[in-house]
Amino acid sequence: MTLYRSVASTVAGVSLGHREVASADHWILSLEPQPQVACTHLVKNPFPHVAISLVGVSGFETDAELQAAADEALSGKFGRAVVFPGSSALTGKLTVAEVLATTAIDRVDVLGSGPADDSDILDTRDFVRPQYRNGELVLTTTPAAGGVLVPFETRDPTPCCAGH
Amino acid sequence: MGHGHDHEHDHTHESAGGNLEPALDMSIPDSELSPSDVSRRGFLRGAGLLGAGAAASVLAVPTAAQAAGLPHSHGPAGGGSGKGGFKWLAGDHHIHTQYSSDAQYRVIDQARHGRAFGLDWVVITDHGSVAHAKIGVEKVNPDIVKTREEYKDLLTFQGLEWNIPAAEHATVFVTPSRNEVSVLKQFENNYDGNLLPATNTEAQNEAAAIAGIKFLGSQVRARKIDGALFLANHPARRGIDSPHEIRNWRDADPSVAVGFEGAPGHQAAGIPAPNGRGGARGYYDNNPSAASYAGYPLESYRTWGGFDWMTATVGGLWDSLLAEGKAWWITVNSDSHVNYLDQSDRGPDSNFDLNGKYNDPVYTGKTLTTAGDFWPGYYGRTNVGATSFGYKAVMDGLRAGRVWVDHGRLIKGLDARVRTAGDRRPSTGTPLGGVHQVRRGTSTELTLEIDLQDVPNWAQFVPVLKRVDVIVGTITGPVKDRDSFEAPDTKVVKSFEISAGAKKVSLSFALGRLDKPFYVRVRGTDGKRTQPGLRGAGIDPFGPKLDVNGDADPWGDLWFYTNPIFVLPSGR
Repeated sequence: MTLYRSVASTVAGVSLGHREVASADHWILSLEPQPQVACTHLVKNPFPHVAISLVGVSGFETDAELQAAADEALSGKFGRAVVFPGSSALTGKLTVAEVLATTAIDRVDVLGSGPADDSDILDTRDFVRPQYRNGELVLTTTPAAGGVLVPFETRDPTPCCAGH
Repeated sequence: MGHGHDHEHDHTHESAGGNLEPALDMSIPDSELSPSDVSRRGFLRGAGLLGAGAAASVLAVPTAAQAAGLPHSHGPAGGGSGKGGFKWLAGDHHIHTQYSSDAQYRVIDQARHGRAFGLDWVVITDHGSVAHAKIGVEKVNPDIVKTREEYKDLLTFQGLEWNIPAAEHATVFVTPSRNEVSVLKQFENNYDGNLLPATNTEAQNEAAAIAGIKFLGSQVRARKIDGALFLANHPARRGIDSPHEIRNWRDADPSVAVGFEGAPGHQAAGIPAPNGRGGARGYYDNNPSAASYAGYPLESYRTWGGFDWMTATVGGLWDSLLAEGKAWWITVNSDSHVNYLDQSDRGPDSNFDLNGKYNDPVYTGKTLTTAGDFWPGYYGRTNVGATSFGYKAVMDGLRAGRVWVDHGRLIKGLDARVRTAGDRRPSTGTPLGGVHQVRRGTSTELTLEIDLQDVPNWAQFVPVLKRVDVIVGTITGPVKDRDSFEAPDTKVVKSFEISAGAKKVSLSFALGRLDKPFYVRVRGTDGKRTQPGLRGAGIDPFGPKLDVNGDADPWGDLWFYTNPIFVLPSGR
């Protein structure tokens, strides 16, 4: 099911100039009440940062210089979904069929190999960030140790040059 | 300039300096130069800055480009021109020491391990930083000089790992001389991304990167150093090296910016827990950020058979550069910071910011199972065809692209040449990186002499080569879109299955009668992990497979890659 573009509800674009997706995620997840859908959008202007689109909540101020970025998020076709219908239930291990049946995710892909099998096990690692692509909410996964699939995006990717 | 054409394009030798000095202006023959300019031209040629060594474009020779019906650039001709055999010297251009804030070993620790594991040359590349620019870049030099004295059969270059403004990291290194520190120090202070104003725009930073590369070339031309090279490190790791930036670096000075890592270091990072870190091979586990180039697919953020997506994809970004006629080479390296199964730690009571280094490492007795790196030479090798054993010869070989790379000592040796069909004389044939020019309609062939592995690697087994793929792409000339990363005409044209038990294998592949310019490159594998390439099974039926997160045994998935040989019509 695709709710993001069709739902008749409050839709808002906002930019607080977050430099990293992690800080934008943190802001989204601290909202009360939680939005129905919240996405991050990578924007280049006026400087590279992360703008946000929200469905079901409103009343956020954006600085004038970031308004274009907020508008870009609102019209963005490639939102990375942080909150979406069913997202709070995506914890632990689930089959791909369960993911498709209980959430707004339309498709689960394996990177470089096409769609995952319904019976494949997704280890969510309690961090799932699918992406809207051509109107579909797609979760890209990769094979991981133990014969499971894991979401492409990890919560703590290796920093550019520290600690390794 | 009497070139007899009026089309619009960059004139490499003009953009390099504005008012071109006579020695650099190849439209002036040697006989019309003053004696001092003849001497200067000889020096520049010897430094690889003119003629065959410096690769502006393989289409640089006007007759070749005209014969091919393609626009040409006017820089020096690309690729190596050497024929016959070379001394193949194995090395690693990306190694950290206690002068990096995330590493720990002495220079001599890294150098002597590299030497013991079979390397002939190493480059010390500590991170550019405030502390390094102020202290480390000078303080590391006596350690390097001492290592050179201690191990005369190992070439130990001084370099640094540049934070390319607006982009990833790069190895920058120079030939040893009394100016090696001052050139590197000036370069780092003026051009390192971490030392530039944080208020810089992306455009300002991209311009600073180009200026930095040009500065290195200017130091060679001013005879402060004999040579300087730039190699972009882990280029696809975070998606921040856009295709146009890579093209811009190269075009800024093709005698300096010569290539990128075909495979990143950190190859132990995917060894499964509990015996290993259980992470991502090469530490390639990132996702797009606001700084990333938006056009890159998610596939680009992971490794494929241990290699970077830009190189691993047949018909991908690397091939798009080669199909343009841009000479651009690949390497492998260790990126050693902290090594898998080592038992040392940073020295106690270190103060990196104050001293520019950590205190000497100490033995702890605790085995570092979660470290992601191998010692230099233990796993990956960059094999350079050099005319002799020496610092400048290694740089010249790298600049000429006489380079093949392997992981886990998959093969023992390799001699790849393009030949005019039937000419099998040992002294002929165009080696890796070179340009084979023949009259249109002439038949050419690729010959491969591969010494199969007959001694164990550092994991105590003898690797077995299973398959060799020949990859061919048409050279279509400069691209309009400098962010292009596809070469639609490049594909695997032949796969050889290698039967077990032989000591040496001789392969040849007929490249047909020449009607349009093309390049050929070669790849081989132990055949243990393959999948159809990202551009389809018709392009690459048995390509490298996506590495499994947390379960990527680097010894169970071995590949070698060669650099290309270009074949051009000579015209008329």
